[in-house]
Amino acid sequence: MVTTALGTERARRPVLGSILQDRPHVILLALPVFLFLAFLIYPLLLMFVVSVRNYHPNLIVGPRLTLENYVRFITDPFYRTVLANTLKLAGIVSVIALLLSYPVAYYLSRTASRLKGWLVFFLLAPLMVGIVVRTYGWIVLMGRNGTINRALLALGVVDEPVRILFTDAAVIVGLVEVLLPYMVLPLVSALQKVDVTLEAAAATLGASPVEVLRRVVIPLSLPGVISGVVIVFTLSAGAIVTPAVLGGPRMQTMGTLIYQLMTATLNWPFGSAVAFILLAFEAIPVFLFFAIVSRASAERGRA
Amino acid sequence: MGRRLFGAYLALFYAFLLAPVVVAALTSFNPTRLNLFPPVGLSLTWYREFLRAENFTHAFFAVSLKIALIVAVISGALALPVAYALSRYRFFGRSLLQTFFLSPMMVPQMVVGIALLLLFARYTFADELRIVIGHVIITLPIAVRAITASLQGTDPSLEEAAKSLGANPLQTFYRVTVPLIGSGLLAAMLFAFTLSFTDVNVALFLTGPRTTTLPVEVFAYLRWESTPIIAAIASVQVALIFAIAISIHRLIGLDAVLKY
Repeated sequence: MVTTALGTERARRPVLGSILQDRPHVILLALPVFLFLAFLIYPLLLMFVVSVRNYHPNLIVGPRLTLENYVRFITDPFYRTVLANTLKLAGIVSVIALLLSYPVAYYLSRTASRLKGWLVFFLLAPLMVGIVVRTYGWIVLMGRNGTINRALLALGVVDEPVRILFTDAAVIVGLVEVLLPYMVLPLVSALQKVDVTLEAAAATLGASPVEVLRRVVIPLSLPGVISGVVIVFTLSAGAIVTPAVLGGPRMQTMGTLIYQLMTATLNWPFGSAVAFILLAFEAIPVFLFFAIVSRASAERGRA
Repeated sequence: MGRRLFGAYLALFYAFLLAPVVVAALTSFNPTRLNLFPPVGLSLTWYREFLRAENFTHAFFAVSLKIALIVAVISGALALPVAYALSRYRFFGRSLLQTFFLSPMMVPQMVVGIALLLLFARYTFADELRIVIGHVIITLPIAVRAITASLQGTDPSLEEAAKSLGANPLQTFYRVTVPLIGSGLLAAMLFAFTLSFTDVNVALFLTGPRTTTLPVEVFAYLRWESTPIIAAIASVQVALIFAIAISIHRLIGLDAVLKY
C-alpha cells in the first residue's frame, strides 16, 4: 500500500476534525435526521403496526395480527356514510375555495400596486391567528343571537332567528374561510410563472379576454390549482375543530371520528386504521386531476 | 367598470377572510354574557374574568407560552444547520433530504399527533416534552424554509473570504453566516412560536391533565358553551400574533415563509 504524504497527514488529523473538514453536512444534519426518524418516521410505522392489531380491552393494542379494523370500517354502513359525507364536504369546500381564490390570486400575481405587500400580509395573518379564534368568531356571527341573525331580523327578512350554527352550511363556510389562504398561495406562485407575454400574444392573435383565460392562463396554472385543491381537500377532510364546534355535537366527520376513537373510546387499533383509510382517500383529488389533465391532452392530440 | 367591480370583490374577499378574527377580538368588550357583535357596551369585565379563570391563565401562560418559547428556540437551533447544509453544500442525497425535512407539511397534523400518541404510550416522556416534540416536528419545515430564504439572499463568497483569512468552519458559521442571516433566523423562530402557540391538531392528542394548551382548553370549552371570555382570550392572542406577523413581514416577508 502506498502512503502518500497527503494520506498520512490526513490520517493524523483528529477524526472529528476530518469529518468536519470533508463532510460538514454530515455533522450539521445528523441530529435533525435522527430526531425526524425517531419522532416522525418511526411513529408513523408504529401507527401502521397498531392499525393491523386487534383491540384488547385491557392492553388497548392486542397481540394478534389482523385486518379486522379495515374490514370493519368498509363493511359497516355507518362508517361508510361518515367517509362519504366527509369526502363530499371536503370536495365542496375545495371547489368553493378555488372559485373564490382564483381571481384574487390572479390579481396578486399581476399587480404592481403599492398595496400588494399589505394584501399579502392580510391574507396570511389570519392564518397565523389560529383556527380556534376564527371558529369562535364564526360562532359570534352565526349564533342564535349572532350578527347575521340580528341583521336579518332588523331588515325584516325573517321573523325569528334562523338556525345557522350546527348545520352543514356553517361548517362549509367556516372551513372555506379558514383554508382560503392555503388555496391562494399555490395559485399565486403558479400564476407568477405564467409568462405575461403569452397572454399578450394570444390577445394580439384575436383571442377574447375570456378565451385567453380559458385557453392560456388556466391550463398553464393547473399545477397551482392541483396543489391548492390537494392541500385544501386534505385539510378539510381531516379537520376536527371546525366541524366539532360549528357542526355541533351530532356532526360526525372522519376528523371528529378519529379524534373520538383515539382520545375517548381509546380504540387505538381501529382509530389508526381509520386514519390510514382517510389518508388513502385524501389522494382522490390527485388522481382526479391527473385523469382530467390526461384526458384533456388526449383530446387536444385528436383535435 | 370591470375594475371597480373587481375592487369590490377584492374588498368582500378580504372582509370575509378577516371578519371572524376582528369579530372574535371586538366581542370581548361586551358587558353581557351573550356573544354580541357589535358589542352592546364597552366593558373590561371579560378580561377580568379571563384573569380570574385559573384553567385559562394556566393554559395561556404556564403551558402554551412556555412551550411555544421552548419550541421556537429548539426549532430555530435545529433548522439553522439543516438550512445551511442544504443550501451551501452539494452532496449525494441532498434533494432527497430536502424533501424529507419538508415532509411533515405533507402529513396531516392530526396524523403526526396520533403517531406520537402511540409512540409515547410505548416510551414514557414528560407531559410537556411530548407536546414540545410534536411541535418541533410540525414547525421545523417552515423554520427551514424561512432560513433558507434568507441564506439564498446572502453571498457565499463572504464565507469563503472568512475561511481564506484563517477562520475555521465553526468560526465562519457563527461569526459570519449567523449575523448575515439573523433576520431569517429570527423570523423562523417567531413563526415556530406562532405555530406552536396556536396549534390544536397535534396538541389534542398529546395534552395531559396539567398540560392542556390554550387552544385545546378553548376548544373543549367551545364544544359546550361560549361566552365573551373566549373573546377576551382571542383579543390578547390576536394582538400578540399580529405583532409577530408584522415583525416577520418586516424581517423577510410573510410570503417568503409561506410560499408553495
